[in-house]
Amino acid sequence: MAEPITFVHAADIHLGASFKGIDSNSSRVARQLIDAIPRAFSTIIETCVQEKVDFLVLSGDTFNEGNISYAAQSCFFKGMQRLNDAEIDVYLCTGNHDPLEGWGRRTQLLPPNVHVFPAGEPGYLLYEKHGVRVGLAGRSFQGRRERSDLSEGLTRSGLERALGPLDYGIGVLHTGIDDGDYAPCTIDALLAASMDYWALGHIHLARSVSDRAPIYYAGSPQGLDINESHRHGCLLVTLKKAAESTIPSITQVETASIAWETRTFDVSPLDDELDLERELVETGQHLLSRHGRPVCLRLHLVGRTPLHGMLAVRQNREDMRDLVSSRCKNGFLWLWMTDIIDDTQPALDIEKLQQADLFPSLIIRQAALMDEGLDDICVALLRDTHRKAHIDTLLESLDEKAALERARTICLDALVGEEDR
Amino acid sequence: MSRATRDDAIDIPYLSRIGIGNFGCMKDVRIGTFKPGLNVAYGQNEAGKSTASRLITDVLFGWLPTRSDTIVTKGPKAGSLLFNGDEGEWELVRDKNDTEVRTLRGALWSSAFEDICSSVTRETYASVFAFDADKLNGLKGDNQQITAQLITASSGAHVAPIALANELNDRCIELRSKSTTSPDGLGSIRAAIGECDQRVKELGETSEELKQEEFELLDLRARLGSLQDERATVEAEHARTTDDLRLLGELIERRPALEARVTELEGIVSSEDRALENGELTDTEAVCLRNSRGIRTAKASTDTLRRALSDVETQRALVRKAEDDLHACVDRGCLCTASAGSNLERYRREILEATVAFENARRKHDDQDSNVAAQRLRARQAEVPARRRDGSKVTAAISTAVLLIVAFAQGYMAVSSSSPLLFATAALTVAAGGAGVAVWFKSRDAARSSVTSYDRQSLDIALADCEAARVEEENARHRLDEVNHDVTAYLHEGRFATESVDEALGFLNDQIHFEEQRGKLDVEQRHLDDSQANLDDVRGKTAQYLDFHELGAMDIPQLLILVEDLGSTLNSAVEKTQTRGMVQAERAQRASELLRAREDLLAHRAAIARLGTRYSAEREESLQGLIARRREEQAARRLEIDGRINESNVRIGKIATRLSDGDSSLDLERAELERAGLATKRLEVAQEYLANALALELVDQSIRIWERERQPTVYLLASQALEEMTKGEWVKVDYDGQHVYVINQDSRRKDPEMLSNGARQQLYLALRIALLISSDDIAPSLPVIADDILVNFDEYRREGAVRAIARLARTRQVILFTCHKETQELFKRMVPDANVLEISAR
Repeated sequence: MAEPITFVHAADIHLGASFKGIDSNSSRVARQLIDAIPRAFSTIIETCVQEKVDFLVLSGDTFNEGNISYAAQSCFFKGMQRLNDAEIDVYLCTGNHDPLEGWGRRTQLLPPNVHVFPAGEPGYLLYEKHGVRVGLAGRSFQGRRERSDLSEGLTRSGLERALGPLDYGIGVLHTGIDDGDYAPCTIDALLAASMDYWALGHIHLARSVSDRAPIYYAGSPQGLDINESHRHGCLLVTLKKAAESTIPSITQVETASIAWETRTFDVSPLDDELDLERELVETGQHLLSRHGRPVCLRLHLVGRTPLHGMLAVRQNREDMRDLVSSRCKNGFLWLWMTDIIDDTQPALDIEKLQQADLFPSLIIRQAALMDEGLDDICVALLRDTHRKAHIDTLLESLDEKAALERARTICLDALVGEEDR
Repeated sequence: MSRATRDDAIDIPYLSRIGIGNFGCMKDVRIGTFKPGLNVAYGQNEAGKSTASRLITDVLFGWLPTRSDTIVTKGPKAGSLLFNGDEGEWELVRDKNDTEVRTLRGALWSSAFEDICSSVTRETYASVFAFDADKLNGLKGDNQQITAQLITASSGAHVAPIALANELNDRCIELRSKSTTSPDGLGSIRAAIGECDQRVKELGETSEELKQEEFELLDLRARLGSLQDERATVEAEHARTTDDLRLLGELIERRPALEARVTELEGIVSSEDRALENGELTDTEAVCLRNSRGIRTAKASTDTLRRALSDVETQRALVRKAEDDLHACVDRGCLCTASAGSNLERYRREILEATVAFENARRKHDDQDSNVAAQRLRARQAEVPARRRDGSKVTAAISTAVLLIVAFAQGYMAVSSSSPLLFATAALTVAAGGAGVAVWFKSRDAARSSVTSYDRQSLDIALADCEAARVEEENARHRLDEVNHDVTAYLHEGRFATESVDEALGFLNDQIHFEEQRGKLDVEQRHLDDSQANLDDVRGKTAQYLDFHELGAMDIPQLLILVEDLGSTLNSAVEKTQTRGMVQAERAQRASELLRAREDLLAHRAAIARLGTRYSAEREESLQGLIARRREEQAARRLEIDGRINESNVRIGKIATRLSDGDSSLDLERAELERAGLATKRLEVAQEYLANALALELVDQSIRIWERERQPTVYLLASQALEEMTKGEWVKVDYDGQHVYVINQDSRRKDPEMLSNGARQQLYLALRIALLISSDDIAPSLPVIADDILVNFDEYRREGAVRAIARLARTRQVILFTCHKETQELFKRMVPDANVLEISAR
């Protein structure tokens, strides 16, 4: 019976990617953010070396795009060289972010342990050690869009036709299952391929695709923005033969050096800014303890509060953000509040205001009327600041309803005195 | 949120006194006391009416730069306004740098300044609250804003909506701003993004350059390898060319000598050939031929000798080896001998000690024996009586023994002779002996039983000591034997060592033998040489003797003579042969030399020819120049390659440095992160701008609606005031959304610009009065200042104006300055409760 094999399955490293939604004045934070993806990649490499794995499988999107920095590219080649020195093979396919057409002469710089799957046709590669024969079938993205099913031909029988009898068969693919733009394939097709393991890339959340066979997305080793607040890492896979079947053992190794978090915080019980600051610092410290690594936090403030007027001013929110960030530190750990989203409401009695039939009620009435033709009003207002051609694109990113609500709140907050609230 | 009026707001503070500290052309002047409602202050020209009016605005809203054409007093400006109310007395003081509200009496009026000024701007105040006859020609400033501010003043808003609109507008302008002083402005952010984009682009290009340079480095390293190979080839070619050039030089230099030598040798050989052709040496040829055989034999002997010498060398090597072995054996023998000597010495000592021990043991044994003997003697002495008693038994024992011996002898003889008689005799003798033995045992037991117990004990001790001494002696003897055995072994070893030495000496002897043999061989060589000579001689003589023998008839003397002759002939022949041999040898040598010289010359020509072929020289004369040129070309080529190698190395070094720097450079990532941050900020600011712009739009729309809904009140009040002032000439003031217009009693509409100066001033006074009445909660503590506004009014309209102003004075404090006594009188007459006061000249 064949010996077990162990390998690391990683994908969507996105070397060279920059973080979105970050406005950090702190050089320390900026530096750690910049370092985060290379550091996660290095952790993958070190895991391979320390675990003495047989090989590493990279399932696409290793680079974020073609024109990444030299430092990011160099980081990758150094990692490959490190594995070459440790006599660990690497099998990689390219994805939609790093299609093969963009690699050019880059392949010439690869050390001999790195094997790139071809684009256009299935690639079959053989790994052999101590008499154990492992066949890897994969296919790379040629361009950024691949609408065809790249899993065609990536089957156990295809592998054995090309390489002879095998102990293990592994499929390597960058695919959005049932996603038309990114090499769509079906779970049934992957199941029918009779592979011992499918190493997939493209989805940044590590997960199993089927409970009938080991078909896994490795997830990305580092969250790239606030929406990727789940666990990130690579998969340490062991395949073992038992009787007629192969038993996989899969463990996620965490590699992210920075955690992303989104928290909603009800400020209505709080009386003043000091209370708010204290509560936010406590929340930050708690998150730092829980994650044990630097945290980037997005905070949603909700609730009806007298602090609304203060929070409505962006500069005040930024000051609060910087203050809380500067106070949330624990040794080498830090918390960076990426933004404070103010969804609080002023402490106003809208009904009372409407009944008074004075200027504030007029504001409330007009706001309701404005909501009906809001698109046109927004376009007209944005013409003062943006070119006509850009406005539609800009409006896709803006929240018009939230802006109108904010406008109403700004007016009422300014016009209504304390005694009338 | 109720609308305050003068009647229900009697606690509103009012201006009671103006203090001119230093302002305009006045210093330390107080004007007052004013009262709530209407105040009419009369003063002559330059009494300070206009100065007081301006001072009120400046103390409230801040100093304006002094106009150059104004007469002013020296020193910093200073002024104060004293306010009175039911709850206290407060003074608003403004000096050069600051303002201060001093509570002179009563409760603190902490937000006095804000309460007084916050709801109106300087422009509004100057336009609506403080006016003179000239200002009454219009509502100067942003009429709509002033109107809106005043119209919405009683809107139930905490702040004037127009103030909010202004604030929102300012905020929108700030958010749109491209100015660097507004870093949060969309324009600034856009500019920063543009800069960042440019930086990202440049850094991206740099990064791309680095990537390309990495490929270039790959190519350069490959090219460098090729260049180094090419350089090695050129270097080798250059070295060969250099060698060729040197060789050619040498060849050219040597050629005359070679040619001369060949010529010389050819001449000699030629002359010798000629001599040979002349037969000069033919008579000795035969002898030479014969002797040549002898020479061959001698050569064979010499070869034999050479082989013998070779053998001698072999033997010498063997001898050297034997010497080495000998030395080793001698050393080993010496070592063994020393060891054996040492061991022998040790064993000698041990033998000595063992011997001494043995001697001691023996002596002790002897002593013990003596002791035993003494004991036995005593025992025997004790046994004497018994022995005497049993003497017969002893005799019997002896007899028995004799009998037994005889019986044995007889038995033996019987066996030998097989005689039955002797057997019988022997049997009888044995029987007699047996009887004797029985008697002896019986007598011995009887004797022993008679020994005393003391003597037996002593004897036992002595026997035991004797036994111990014997054992000790035995042990000593064993030890001595062991030592002897060891000595024997060591002696054996010593003998082996001696044999090794002997063997080594044998090798040495062999060597000596070889040396002797070599000497013998040398001698033999000499003998061989002599024998050769003798042999030659004998052979010659033998041949002659044979000849003589053939002659047969010659007698001995003749023969002797002949022999003598032959001998001399032979000597001569030998001499000639030797000469001839020498000549031949020389000739052969010369021929050989000639051959070598010709070969040298041929080789020399061949070498030049090869060089010519190698360098494709058509003529030999041009060869040297050709090679030199080729060498220079190669040197130049080498230099060029060195240059290219150097260039490549420099470039490789530069690229490696740049790549090393680029390796750790995160500038692009930093710039991209910054850009991403700016993009985020731009979106946030755009969202904020949209919210503010919507808020502004909301407020603007609401103000317009409010105006539209509430304006009739203002224009109704204005119409009443205008009708009152114009005695019904103009009955209505209205607003069409863009322009104010008036309508007369004939319903004719007229634009204000078309009115007479007086009528227009009455229109705008009516509008101001209407606005101020309808917004009596706006800045209620601020006085309305009217500076001689009635000068252009006729008498009737002046009275109407006084009534309208008196109505205004019921809602807020009005201070009317006039320099016309009749105006003062008119007010006194028409408004008896008006506070009339006079401003005295300074």
